[in-house]
Amino acid sequence: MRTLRILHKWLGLLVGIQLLLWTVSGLVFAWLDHQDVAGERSVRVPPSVAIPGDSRVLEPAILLADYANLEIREVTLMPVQDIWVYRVRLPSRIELRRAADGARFEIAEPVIRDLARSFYSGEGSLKTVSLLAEPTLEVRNAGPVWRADFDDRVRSSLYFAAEDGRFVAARNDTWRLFDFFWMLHTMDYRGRDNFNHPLVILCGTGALWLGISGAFLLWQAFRPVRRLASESRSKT
Amino acid sequence: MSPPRLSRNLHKWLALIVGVQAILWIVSGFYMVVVDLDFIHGDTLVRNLATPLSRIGKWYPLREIRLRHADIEQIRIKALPGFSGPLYELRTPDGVILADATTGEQISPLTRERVAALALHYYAGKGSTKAIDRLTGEAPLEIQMRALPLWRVTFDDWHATTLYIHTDSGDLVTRRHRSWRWFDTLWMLHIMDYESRTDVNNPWLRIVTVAGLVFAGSGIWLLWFSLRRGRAPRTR
Repeated sequence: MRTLRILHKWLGLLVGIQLLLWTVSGLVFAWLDHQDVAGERSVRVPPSVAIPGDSRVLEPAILLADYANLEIREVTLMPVQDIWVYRVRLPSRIELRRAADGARFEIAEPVIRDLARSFYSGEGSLKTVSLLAEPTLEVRNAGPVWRADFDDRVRSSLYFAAEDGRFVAARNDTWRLFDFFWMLHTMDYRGRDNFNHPLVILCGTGALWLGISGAFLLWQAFRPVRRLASESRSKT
Repeated sequence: MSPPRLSRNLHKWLALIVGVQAILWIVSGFYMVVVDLDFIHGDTLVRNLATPLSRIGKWYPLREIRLRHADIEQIRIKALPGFSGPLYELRTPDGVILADATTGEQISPLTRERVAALALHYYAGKGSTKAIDRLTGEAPLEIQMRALPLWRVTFDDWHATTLYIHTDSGDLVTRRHRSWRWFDTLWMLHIMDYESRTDVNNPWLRIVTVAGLVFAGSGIWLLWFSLRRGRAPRTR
């Protein structure tokens, strides 16, 4: 039992602070409203629109002739706001082509402004829109993205992919707080999402032995037989 | 009561109250960090998820497809493993329609034979098909919020791999297997939501994390006395 006690004490010294951080961050996750974290109250999916029957759409055979020697994963005919485009997915990039005539289509700032307003359902209004070419941790390095900032209480930001304008993520100050504690929880101080790395496995192993030794010590402390034995010993 | 004695008593009694949950947190967390998350997601059990479009000489005109169906919201031109040529996948308010892009022939909803063949193309394991069911009505808990109907294809391998395939598009919607199910059960124990397994704001978790924080804090408090004096005084 002495050995168990010493083991418990020294493991406590090694992983105690991390164990405290796990508990604090867990507490934060439990108390922060998950809908607030996910930004569900400030994002809506705009209603789908049908392609007008009389609108001109290039036949796929003509469009794909431009990609004769390239591998194509998928082509999607879809609207970007009120313009119908072909989204051509190649192994390493995405191209947009106007459905009517096949001309290249680039997502520009006014399109993002419209998109951001149509996805936003919060109480603020759109403040700034910026193109982030470098990998952005807040959207987990999803590639070049547009960031649309709103002036609401929780500083909501909506992210859209630069290549095709698709909605990537909604972030806000509640999420940012959550994400800081998520980093402490996963112990992944760089990418924040990987919880299969050696450091966290090492601490997890320490915590496991701390728990096992603690369970034995607890059993020893509350075991009725021992209590009786020690009482009778103190009487003699 | 002196501070060292108080810290020891607090740690001991809190261990009795939240000890079981603390062990569950440690054990479930340990599983999550040691088992690779990509494996849990089933990445190693499937293949052929990004089949490129094959080249065809003749396309069925998209114009004709558009005349046949009203209110088209999106058209994907895609490939499915085991199908000889590209496919048109139409999204309408009434659901998804799949058609052969060479002949224009409609192939949705997919027949049981087609689903069985598709499942074998998606499946990367060594087992064979055990059962194919078309799920309607109430969804099993393990596919969470996904809409039915879906085809469920189970395999007789050690992982008890289960593939869920869309009845019209033929897409692999999700996959489940033994280690995922373990993860999910341990996740349930980790967040203490024993019904939906998704609510991280449930009152049980909120209360027990507070107790857990005091428990961990008292342990560190006790450790401080224990290290300063070599050995903290026993409570008895």
